Amino acid sequence: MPEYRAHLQVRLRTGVLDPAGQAVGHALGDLGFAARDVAVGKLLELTLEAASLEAADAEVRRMAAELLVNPVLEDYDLEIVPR
Amino acid sequence: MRADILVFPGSNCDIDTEIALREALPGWQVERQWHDGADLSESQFCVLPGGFAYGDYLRAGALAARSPAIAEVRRLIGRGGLVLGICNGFQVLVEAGILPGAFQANTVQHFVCRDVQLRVEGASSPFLADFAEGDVLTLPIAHQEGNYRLTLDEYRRLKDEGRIAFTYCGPQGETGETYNPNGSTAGVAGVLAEGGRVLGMMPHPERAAWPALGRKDGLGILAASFSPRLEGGKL
Repeated sequence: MPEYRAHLQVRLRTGVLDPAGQAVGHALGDLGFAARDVAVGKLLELTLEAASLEAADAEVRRMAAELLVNPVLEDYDLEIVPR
Repeated sequence: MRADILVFPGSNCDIDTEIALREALPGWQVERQWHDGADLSESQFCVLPGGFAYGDYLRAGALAARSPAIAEVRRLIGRGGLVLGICNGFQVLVEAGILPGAFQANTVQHFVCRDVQLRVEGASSPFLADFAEGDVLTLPIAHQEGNYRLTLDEYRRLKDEGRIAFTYCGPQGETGETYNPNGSTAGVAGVLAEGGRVLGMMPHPERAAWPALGRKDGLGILAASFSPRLEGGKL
């Protein structure tokens, strides 16, 4: 079966308080930068085998639902590329 | 009667909890069990202790919540057993979906380790049998991610169902943001599952249950209405 590499960008949902993003934003301000709306998220990457790109996509979305992402607080973008 | 404490890689309050449970439940068999292969079939009471299970990797409590030991916890709950999640153990119960909500970093952006006051809310639970609504307890907190998030709807539902166990408060039981150490929704410090037999709380009752440490408010919670020393609801 073909191999795919999945990249999940996990971020806090809109409206969820992001204390880490705020702290980083303050630090950037202290350094004289004028960045706004700083957000801190995380990047998860994994390799999997699947019959097709669509099957790989569905499998990673199941992983996200069961473990990788907390839907109460987090949202994600998924990019999958053949290896 | 038997109480079990589940130990995950990174748990660090399990021995304190064992000592405190022996104090709270004289005559009980109290055991610590490694999560892998844990068997709760003989247990009446399981505690998920504080610490940093799996290093808080991914999200606090997320990996422990998917371990086979949590299937054992669900079976114990199904049999009507008692389950108490303390601090990281509370985070595990939330990640497992056994209790509602989610955790975020404290709004103050750093680890908070100090005594706090807690108001006992009017919930019905064996864990609160020693207390009356409005009682003020002093227990320590020690956490970085204790900001317990509930949607407004969830909070109202828990309140209506009598499932808010504790709220952070001042010395006289007064509530408000001044007394909220971590930004939790409405200052909620502990909640119950339906039926009141599962309690999750951020403060550490096991650190206030040993006479040498000078505080005993945690004993009544750990005794969970079982203690032979409970008379008229008081230890």
